[in-house]
Amino acid sequence: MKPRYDVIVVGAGPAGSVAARRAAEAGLETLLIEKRQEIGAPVRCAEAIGAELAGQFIAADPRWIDARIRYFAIHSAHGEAVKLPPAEPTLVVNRKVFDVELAHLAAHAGAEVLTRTMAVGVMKAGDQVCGVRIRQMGVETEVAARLVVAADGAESQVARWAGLKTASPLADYYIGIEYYLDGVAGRIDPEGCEYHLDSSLAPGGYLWAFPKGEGRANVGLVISADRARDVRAIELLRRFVSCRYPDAGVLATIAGGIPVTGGLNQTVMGGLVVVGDAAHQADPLTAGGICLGMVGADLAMQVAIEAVKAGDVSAGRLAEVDRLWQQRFGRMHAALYKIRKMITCWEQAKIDELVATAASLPLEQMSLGKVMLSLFRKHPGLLLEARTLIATGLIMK
Amino acid sequence: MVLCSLGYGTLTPIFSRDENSMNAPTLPKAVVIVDDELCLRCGACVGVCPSNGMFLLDTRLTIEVTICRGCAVCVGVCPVGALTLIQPGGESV
Repeated sequence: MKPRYDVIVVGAGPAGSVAARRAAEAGLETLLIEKRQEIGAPVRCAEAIGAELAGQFIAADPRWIDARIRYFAIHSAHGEAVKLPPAEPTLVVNRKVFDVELAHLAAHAGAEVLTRTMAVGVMKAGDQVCGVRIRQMGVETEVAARLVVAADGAESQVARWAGLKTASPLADYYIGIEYYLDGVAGRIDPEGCEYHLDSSLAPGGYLWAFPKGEGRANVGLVISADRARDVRAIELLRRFVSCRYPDAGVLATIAGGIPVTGGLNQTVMGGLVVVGDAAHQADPLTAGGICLGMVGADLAMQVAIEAVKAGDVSAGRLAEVDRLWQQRFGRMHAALYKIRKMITCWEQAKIDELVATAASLPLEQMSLGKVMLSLFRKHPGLLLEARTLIATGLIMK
Repeated sequence: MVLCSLGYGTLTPIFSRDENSMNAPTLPKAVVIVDDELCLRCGACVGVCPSNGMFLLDTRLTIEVTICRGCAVCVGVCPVGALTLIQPGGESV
């Protein structure tokens, strides 16, 4: 570790590794630090990603592809299911390998990568962030940087130390818990992702079962934090798994929190950009955030690298990062956020009816617009609720 | 009692139930404590702490007692029920 870098990236998840790689590729002296002793472990994710978006950052590799998905099945509480083809080719990845590969690409581009090295504070000169206090093997050091990238996940502290407000309101925060199960062959389709919209299984959220190949599966749930007071997420999952997969072995238990605000309004300040889950860049409906975090890091670094090179990392210059994000995802995320809010208000009976109606449609021959029209015809009240979404033009295309 | 310098350069006492370090009756205010045997070190609590008083290390979660205001937002969020609010009198809630 040197006393000074152009860029210090805190957190070696997908967003951090992409940010570090972009900086190093641009010829900037870059440090990527990870507090855990092993990158990618423990995994904290349901591990499904869009192949095309991911392909912009990493070449497909069978070492980290556990399953290729042909359809999503959305289940009601009664067990009825709507099968939908994915909008883009979808993969279930092995995050342990995937994350290490991304960090490897950063290192290969010239970034210095250190594990078991954690940020314990930020250095500031006036309003400007100018470095990170780093602790490694019990020794604390101040390391200067022209730009700090906070990619330290949902529990981000770097941004908070710097003065940004990143704590999520409970209504916009998912609590996730999952089991990595073994011995589920025959009980899960190796090419289909299951989602269960059942408020008794996952209040304010959903339960998923994703195949991982070789008779294994990633089965978990997210619940809305504002409905979590009287339930224990792990109990809900244990109940479902013991009922549905009674013989399965639990190879890993994984948990975490995910902000689903759709994105922080402000992700930059002088000398600092925030990316990935730390910037609430996960999908505000599904909470999927691997690809969005990588895209967010990429967008941020397009601006930040030029800013560092020009010697101007002021908040004003970096504000372009927020503009780019809004331009690309603002409208879509606002709509997805509204859809989640709408669904979480629904009674379970309504969800079940909608799934039943959709399940009766010949979906393979229908456009999304036609599907929506059929649903509206059968459930006119839905039209009223969805009017703001229709106004944005997002769901009638 | 565990000492930890994670905060802002000063050594700060951290409460942790597993080490039997609680001296509850002398607590000056309500604080949250963590049961290390239940905690999955997932950090879900850290993301909602309005006081920024929780720190997730590789192997343990710490709650900085000087920062914790005892608001207990984290207690409801914990997926495994590892967090407990302790009132000044030592009563758990």
